[in-house]
Amino acid sequence: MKRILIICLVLGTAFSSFAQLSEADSLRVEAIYKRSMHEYQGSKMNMLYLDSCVQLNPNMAKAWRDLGTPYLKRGDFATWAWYINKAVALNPETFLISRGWCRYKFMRDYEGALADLKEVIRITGNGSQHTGDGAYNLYVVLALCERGLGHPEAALEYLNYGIDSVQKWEPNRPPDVYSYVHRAALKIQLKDYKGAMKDLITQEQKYPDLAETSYYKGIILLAQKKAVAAVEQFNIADKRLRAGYRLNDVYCEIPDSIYPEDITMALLAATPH
Amino acid sequence: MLNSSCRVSLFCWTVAMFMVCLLTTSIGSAQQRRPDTTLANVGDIPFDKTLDDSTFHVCNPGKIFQYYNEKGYYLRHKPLITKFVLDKYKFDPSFENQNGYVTIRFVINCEGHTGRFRIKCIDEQMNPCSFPDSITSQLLTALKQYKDWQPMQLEQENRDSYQYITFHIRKGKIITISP
Repeated sequence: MKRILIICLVLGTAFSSFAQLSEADSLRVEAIYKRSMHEYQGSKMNMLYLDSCVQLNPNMAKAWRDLGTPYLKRGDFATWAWYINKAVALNPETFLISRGWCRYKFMRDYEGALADLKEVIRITGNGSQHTGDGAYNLYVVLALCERGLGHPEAALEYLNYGIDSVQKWEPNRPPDVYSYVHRAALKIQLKDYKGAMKDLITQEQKYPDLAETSYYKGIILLAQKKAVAAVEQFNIADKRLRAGYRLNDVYCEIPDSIYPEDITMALLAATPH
Repeated sequence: MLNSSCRVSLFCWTVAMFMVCLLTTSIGSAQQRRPDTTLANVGDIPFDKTLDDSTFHVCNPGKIFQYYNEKGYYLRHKPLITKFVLDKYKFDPSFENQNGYVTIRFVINCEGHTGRFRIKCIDEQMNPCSFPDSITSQLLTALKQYKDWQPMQLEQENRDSYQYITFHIRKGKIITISP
């Protein structure tokens, strides 16, 4: 009997590794996590603090996500995937958004991003949630992925959800900063110049002074054989671009971005020879 | 009180469960990935005499920035760089079954010269893989031949910085370039 009791004690100790963290330990791990944020992201100390978190609490999904983030930003996608997959397994509703959006943004993995984001919408029923940087709601990212795969009609449908439907459901929520530019560029591709111009006018009202807004207005005017008005818009775009007022992200090129050479080519096309 | 056969069964059961616990813990440890504490930062590329040009130098080895610390040359001139590389990349029918991502990470020093190139490849499920030299060497050579890099400017000073470029390859052709 005494032998059985000793064995049960040993077994209980072994099982204790699977037990829930005590409240004190949870607070301790949370404090280590907060401490990690004081260190430069991706530095040795930052990584060691985060590693300590997941050693103490393997269920801390946000720490797994944060361990992977510097690898993502520095182009080591395999290592990032290893970490973010841990976070997704623990909390798919939250971290499928991160994984899907980052697959789109950093890798242009359109199929992977579509799969992740559609799954999150299936689980949560909510596609109006924002990406981690707040730039887009998930419908807009789906649209950009579909467009990247060469499906403009599907892209337009998602953009309409992401812009018009979300505005209807949440009238007090400001529209995403660049969504009207993306929809305008897509409508130009589909030769809906009237619809595109309407979106660019809205973009100018809500978020004025973007070089891309003027540039795409110029493209529409050129297509409508209004060369003088087009040149005026291209010159405005040029000024704004030189001043730095453009589609802007510190990590990645944003689709529909324009560059000085685009304006040069557009002015050449608009100017009679 | 338990009879002796019950006690033996219980003993065997508890030992078996204990062994399962130990095994599960050790498997879990084997699947761990721990941070590389030999590097000061994730993504650092120390000089390697077997790989790197010894004439390439960094101006401040203690502080090499990331490309995103300031709007660097790449994001301001991406179309020029990608056109340069795409013009040099020659598809071959033998590349037809090559799919995945080739990432080349390197340093742009404070003088605008490049060095310390490193290549990582993944497949479309984001697992490490390898690509044939006939593809990776083309991309690497093209990036090394591009000479118009400008150093990062931070607080009115030229700085060393890391840059990476990722080529998404589908059936041997480059379909997107990021970031």
